[in-house]
Amino acid sequence: MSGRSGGLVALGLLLAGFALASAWQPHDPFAIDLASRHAPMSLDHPMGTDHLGRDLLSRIMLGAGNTAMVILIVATLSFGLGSLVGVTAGLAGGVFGTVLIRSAEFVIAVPTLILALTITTLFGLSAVTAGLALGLATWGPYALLAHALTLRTLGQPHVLAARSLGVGRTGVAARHVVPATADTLLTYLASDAGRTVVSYASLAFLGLGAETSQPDWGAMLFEYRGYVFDAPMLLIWPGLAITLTALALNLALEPRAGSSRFLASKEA
Amino acid sequence: MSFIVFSRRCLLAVAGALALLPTLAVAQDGDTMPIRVVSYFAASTLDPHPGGSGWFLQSHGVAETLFWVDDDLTIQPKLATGAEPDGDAWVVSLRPDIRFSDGSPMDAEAVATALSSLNALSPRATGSTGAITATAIDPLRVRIETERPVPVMSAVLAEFPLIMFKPVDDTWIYTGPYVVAEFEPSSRLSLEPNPHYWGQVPAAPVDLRRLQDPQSRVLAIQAGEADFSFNLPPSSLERLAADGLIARSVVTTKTEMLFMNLTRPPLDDQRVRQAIALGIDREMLVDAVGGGLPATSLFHPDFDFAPNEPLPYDPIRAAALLDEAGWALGDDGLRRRDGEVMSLLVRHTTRQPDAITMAPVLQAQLQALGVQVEVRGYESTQPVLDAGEFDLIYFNSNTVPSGDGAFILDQWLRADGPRNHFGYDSAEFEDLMDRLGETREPAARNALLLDISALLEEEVPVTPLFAVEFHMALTPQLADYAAHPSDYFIVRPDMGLVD
Repeated sequence: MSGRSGGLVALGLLLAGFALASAWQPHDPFAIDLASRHAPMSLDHPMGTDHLGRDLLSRIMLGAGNTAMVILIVATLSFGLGSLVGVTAGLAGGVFGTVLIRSAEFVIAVPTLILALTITTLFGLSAVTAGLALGLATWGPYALLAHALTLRTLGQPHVLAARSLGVGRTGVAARHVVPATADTLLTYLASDAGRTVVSYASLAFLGLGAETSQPDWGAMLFEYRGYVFDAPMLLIWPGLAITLTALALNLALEPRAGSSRFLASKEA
Repeated sequence: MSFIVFSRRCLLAVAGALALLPTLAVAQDGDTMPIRVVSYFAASTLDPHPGGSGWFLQSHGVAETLFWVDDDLTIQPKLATGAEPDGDAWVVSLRPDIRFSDGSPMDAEAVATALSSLNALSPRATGSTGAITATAIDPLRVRIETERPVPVMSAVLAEFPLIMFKPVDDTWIYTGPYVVAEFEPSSRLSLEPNPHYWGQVPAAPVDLRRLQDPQSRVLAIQAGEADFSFNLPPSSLERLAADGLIARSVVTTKTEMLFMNLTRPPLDDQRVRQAIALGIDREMLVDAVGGGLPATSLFHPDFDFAPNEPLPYDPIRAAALLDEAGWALGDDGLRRRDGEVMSLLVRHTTRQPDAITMAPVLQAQLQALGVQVEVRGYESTQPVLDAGEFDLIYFNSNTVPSGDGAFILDQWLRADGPRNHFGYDSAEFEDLMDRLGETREPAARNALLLDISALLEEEVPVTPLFAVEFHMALTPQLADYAAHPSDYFIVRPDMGLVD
């Protein structure tokens, strides 16, 4: 299994695990039981309960599902849109290509969180809107990368030969450009997943337009921040979930020496 | 090793001595150490005209009004001695011994000048009266005419925007127990005792700092950087008490209220609004936020014009009302009418921890009725109210800022009230308010206000949730501090360090 394939499998497994976690929890994550608030860790409540007596593990599990959905939406949108714009700009060239690339540079110039915050403030914050907002705010680097790779591929002797033999732009794109760019773009996509987790948590923490009672990890940090000294575990659990997920994604998906991606990047 | 231990001790001793040097310097100068107060707000200006300025300056012990609401929630004279009707106008008598902080007397001419200035430059000051015309009759009596009839002038003159002041050069001076010595807008005030104060001159200066984050206010007093920390999270009180600090709580005249949007379905139906009000377990809300009193009406239960009994919690009656209104409960636990799910958007501020804590509790209680509930936070209340983007919206406000219940009703619920964003327009309510506006006799006013509370419980443009409790911590030296049941008088003249 290549490094890329292994990474994508790891990403898939993680997302599937998150989806399962959000489909079933040991307790109702919204069930309030004031009599058992701030309950310590136990078999019944492995992570304890919060200030309203809600089971923390169940809330963390439900939050995992939202995080998985955001990663999927962001990955699809930023990878799809960025690749399309970059490859099109490289193939088209001229003024049209320049306009496309300038638009990608504009998106990069605007701070990701500010752009995403503006969108979620206007349309409300849910896993879907956050995914769309972050995706729309992060497609720029994919476009630049795809553009550079496209130009490099178009300059290769075998591509020049194909074009001289009458292969059209669409044929060149399908047979040569897309296969040559996909590997590197997927590597970038994999490395971006960890950042997406943190960005989504930041949006949920800031809470603009958010449904505040939803157990997103970032929203939980916001909701529990008043208990930082009196019940610190309330913050430690969602904090750990964010950190470990981002770390796991980066470790599982990073290029390894010996992998096809690593060698390809070395050769380049 | 003994050398190392000796060195460490020496270092600690030197460090301790250095730390005490400023104290010794102060002691040598004969100055009194300031009382260090941390609060969640600090004045942004010393100008008395902007909206909240009177509240801030009064709360900081700098400015005063002619009347005030005392600790027992009774309107009492302060800079004035009384107010008597004179036809449609009022004649207010002043205390003879009041001086501004520069030593000049606060006579009738000064009061008339201040009121005229507020009338011209502060729309909030004239919210209850319309235009004010104030003229000095003699040095100790002012005649006040108002655009709208005023049944209780002492209550109007207890409103915080009507603080007394005197413009001097480019600034303003006041009559309060403290004088502003140093000022950093919205951040810090250094307050010195006012030597010309008419009452007990404070024993010590005050250094007031604003720390917006509640945990920062807890840490400040825990770390010994404050003597008095105001508006703390209830969860911190036990820890602070264990550290030898005095933890104190006071139920205030602020009421947490759930307003309803009557301009659109389903809350345009009175039965649905009644069901919402009956479906809220206020005891549980109070338990969840860690303090307060379940509401009996919009007013603090200790006022004479507030009902005694808490508002009922009756989910069975609530369900029956929803059935009656055509919202049938489905197998999925949701109510529908003509195939449409009953759905409510609840909005709340994200700036107050209590509001965030309440959100899931309120959501669960409404869901138990079969209502689909989306709860969304906001940074600022006014834009949400202006846009009408809510079905239910909750926030707290001091409902009796001047000791009389008419204020909030005029502002928030009158059909033409400046803060009626809810589409409430009731002929019966308007009639009762008109009668209240013409009634001066206290017992008759109380009876009318009780009638109005009963009407509001029936028509439900708003349902009160609970009286808000403030929590604070003090060092043992401030053990005698008496907390006012509001945040209008935090820095007080009798606040002093005791041995």
